Amino acid sequence: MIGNIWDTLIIMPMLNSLLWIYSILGNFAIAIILFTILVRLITHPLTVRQLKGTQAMQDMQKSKEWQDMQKKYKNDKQKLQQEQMRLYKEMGVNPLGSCLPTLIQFPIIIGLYQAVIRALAVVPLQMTGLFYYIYPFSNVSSALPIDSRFLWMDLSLPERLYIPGINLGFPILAILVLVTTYFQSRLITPPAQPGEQGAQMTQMMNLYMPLLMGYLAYTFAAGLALYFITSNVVTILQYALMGRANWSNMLPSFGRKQAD
Amino acid sequence: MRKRKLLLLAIIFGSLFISSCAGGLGTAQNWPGVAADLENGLVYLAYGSHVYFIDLETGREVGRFPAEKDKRNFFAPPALTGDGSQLIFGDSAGILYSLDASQYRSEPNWTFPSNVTAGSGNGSNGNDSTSNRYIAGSLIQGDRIFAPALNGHLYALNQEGEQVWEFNQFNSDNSELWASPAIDDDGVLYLPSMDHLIYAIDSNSGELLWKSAESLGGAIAGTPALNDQSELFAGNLGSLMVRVDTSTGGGVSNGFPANGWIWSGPAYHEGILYYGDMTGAFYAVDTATGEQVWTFSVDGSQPGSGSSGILEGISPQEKIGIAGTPLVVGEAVYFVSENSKFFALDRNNGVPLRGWPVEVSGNLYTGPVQAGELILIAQVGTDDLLSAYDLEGKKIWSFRPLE
Repeated sequence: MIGNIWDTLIIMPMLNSLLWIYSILGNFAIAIILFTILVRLITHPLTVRQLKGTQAMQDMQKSKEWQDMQKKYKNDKQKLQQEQMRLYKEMGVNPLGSCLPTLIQFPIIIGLYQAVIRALAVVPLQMTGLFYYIYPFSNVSSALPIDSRFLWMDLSLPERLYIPGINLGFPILAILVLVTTYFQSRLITPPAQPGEQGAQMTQMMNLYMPLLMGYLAYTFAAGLALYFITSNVVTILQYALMGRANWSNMLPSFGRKQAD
Repeated sequence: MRKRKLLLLAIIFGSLFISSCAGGLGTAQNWPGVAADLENGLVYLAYGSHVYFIDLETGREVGRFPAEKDKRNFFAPPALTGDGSQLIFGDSAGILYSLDASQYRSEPNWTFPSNVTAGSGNGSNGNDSTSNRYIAGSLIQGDRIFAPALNGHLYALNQEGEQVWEFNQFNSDNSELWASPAIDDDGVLYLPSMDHLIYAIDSNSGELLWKSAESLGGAIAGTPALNDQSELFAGNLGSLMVRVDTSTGGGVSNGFPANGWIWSGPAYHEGILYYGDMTGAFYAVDTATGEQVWTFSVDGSQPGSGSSGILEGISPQEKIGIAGTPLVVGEAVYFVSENSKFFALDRNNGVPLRGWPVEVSGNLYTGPVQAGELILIAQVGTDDLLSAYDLEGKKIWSFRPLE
């Protein structure tokens, strides 16, 4: 039952959209990129809402009440934490607000991964399985099978760039995913306050998420890595256009100086 | 703080879960390939890590290749040479093997290409790649072996495994070969391709005689059927059974529509074309008049009735597809559907014979294979990989690999 709901609400719309874009463009990598942009545009209201929450947290942390609390309980971490959580509650601020866009992406990531893998069927058993997920009223079947090649990579396989003479494949996309995820995390994270529990959590996430995403891109089909990179770049552009990119956070040392 | 730790743990476990689904598609599973050898009393089953040699009378394993599991995967249907001495099959790394068919031996007579280390899992390009695997079985005619490799190469070999010619003049770089070619009495090969075209090739020289002028409406994954009036019939993923005139260089005349993808090649018998589609509809069409003689649906619904509402149209369809080529024996036509049913219909009116359909464990994709008075049904997703039934639907034996 749950599987059917997931398939109906997430997989099938994604898969059919991807195939429809591919049937028009004839390039699956471009289809993934365009689809990612489309998804980011749809989730833009969530991004705006998260930004407002982040701004509210920043304003709260600049308030006199917050500053006084930091001084009063600086030697009592437990009490300080309790008071911080109380203040968060009173002012309706979510300390994990900067993590939300990334967390919301998880069902999208999983859904897109499944959609990409289904579309890139490489054996008959997978291809016949794909039939059951295509809307009967669409004509995307005429575009099958998907041409999974793009530049040097096969979108259905983990990406590696092989240079003649070197017996080692370079995971270019995985590196790009790691770098763009790191930059995106840094840009959308508000300047940290020393000793702030939420800030420590956010710092952990900003370190962990790029590594996780890089690992996923290294291990999974290249099509998913393309989604990660596109999503990260679009997010950076979104924040930059809204004037919300914290460029001062790009390098840790420069960020700490600003906080001081 | 506790909530944050729980959240972090949830993320870690979630990422581990996601990563457990990781990996490329190089070792993807497929449905089995089956061949029967009445002379040697054996059945050959290609599935997963082995090609199994099975006693036709008892269903017991006689041997397997390779003896120990390694990186190789086998799904393409094996084929016997004309003299019954060699068993020819390909693996997922693009290597073709010849084994002694009459007496099981663990070492191949030869491999093609001959310069690749068998068992390494590496294909002819040196890398573990999905691009040059064998999905379709070889066609054997006389002393020639015609092996369609996934990556758009049709190889013609002699019985010593030496290449006679190679054909790769396909329409695009994305021309994959998922089906065996058909051959007519004049020695012309008709090779269907996933690039939506059919290629006619001289089997002696490998010369391209003609190819479809334009897309036939969809990728073609099944071996075409030929009649004695220079007509070729092939189903495609555009839900169409196309009719091609082979005497006029591939001219296309009115085909026969279906409700869904036609995955396999049709069966042609006495002027009637029998085929199924992925919606579970089965058709008998008179090729002379173009009229449907009868239709049948796996789930008992009226073929072509379509979904009953918007909700059904946007939800995954029930998996009742017919993916294998039907088998005509006497007055009956046999086929299987994905939802574990083995059907026998009266081929004159499409009515199920008494006592049919038969429930078979697992999912069924491979078309029924006749072995004398037995019909062999390959199974997926169950411990039994193969079952043998008599023509009345009584199970005679099931094969389960030895541990």
